[in-house]
Amino acid sequence: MDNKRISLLVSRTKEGDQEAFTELVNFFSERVYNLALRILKSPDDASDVLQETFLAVYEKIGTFDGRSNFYTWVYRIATNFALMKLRKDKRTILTDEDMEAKFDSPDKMQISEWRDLPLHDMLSKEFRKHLDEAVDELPEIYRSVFILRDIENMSIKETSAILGITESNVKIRLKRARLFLREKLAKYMDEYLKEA
Amino acid sequence: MKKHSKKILDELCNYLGQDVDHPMCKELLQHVNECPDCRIYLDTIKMTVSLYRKTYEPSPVPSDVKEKLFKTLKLKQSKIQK
Repeated sequence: MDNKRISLLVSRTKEGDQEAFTELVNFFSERVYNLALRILKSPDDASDVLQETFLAVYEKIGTFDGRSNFYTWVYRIATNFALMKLRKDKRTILTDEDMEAKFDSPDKMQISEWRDLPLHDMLSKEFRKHLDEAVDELPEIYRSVFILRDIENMSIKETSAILGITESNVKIRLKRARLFLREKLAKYMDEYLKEA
Repeated sequence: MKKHSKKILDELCNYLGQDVDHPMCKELLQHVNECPDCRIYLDTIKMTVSLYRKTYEPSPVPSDVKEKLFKTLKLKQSKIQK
């Protein structure tokens, strides 16, 4: 769905058109659900965030002024609910400082050669499972940046707006997330290549 | 890994925090092309991001969850209409 269509549906929803809102919900619900699922790692929690997000969207759509993209606005609401849930459940949210030493030591990184591994091997079910588990191991503040920027393809600016952090912070967290994941993959690949 | 690589790797990592596809400065690119370790390092970071993009499969919203969502929104909408 293009931005023009989304703008039209938002305007109609503001005027009380339920069909327009239904179309927006249909279009965004899977994205919101998956965003929440990735952050919270729980289908039940993702379901709660989905409900809360669209209730909030419906209640607040009158205040949406169109200065930002609608999807950025929706993602911000969803991410806030997801992060609030993490805090409420007292799940650990590590700070940038906590993780600095761990992720900022590239001299300790493994330099293993797995560039030439056949793509077929890398797209196997087992490999995908390993990729998912590696993302799940990322601390929440890094996971949300990685999901928004590298999976959802949001820009640095959009990711910054959604998470309410500076663009510099987005870049730092993204760098650490990517290095963390590369390390996880390198270890997995080393074992895989040894067995092959 | 060669000792001289650390500074370059630091720079690479900072660069990578910006955008994997961002054009590198000449010095950095030259070094990466001449240093096999840095080349592998950079390529595997790029591949990591690329693999996540290629293998990502969104989960469909379970039908009962979607049903609940629509039910909730309709209730909310009817309350407003009242």
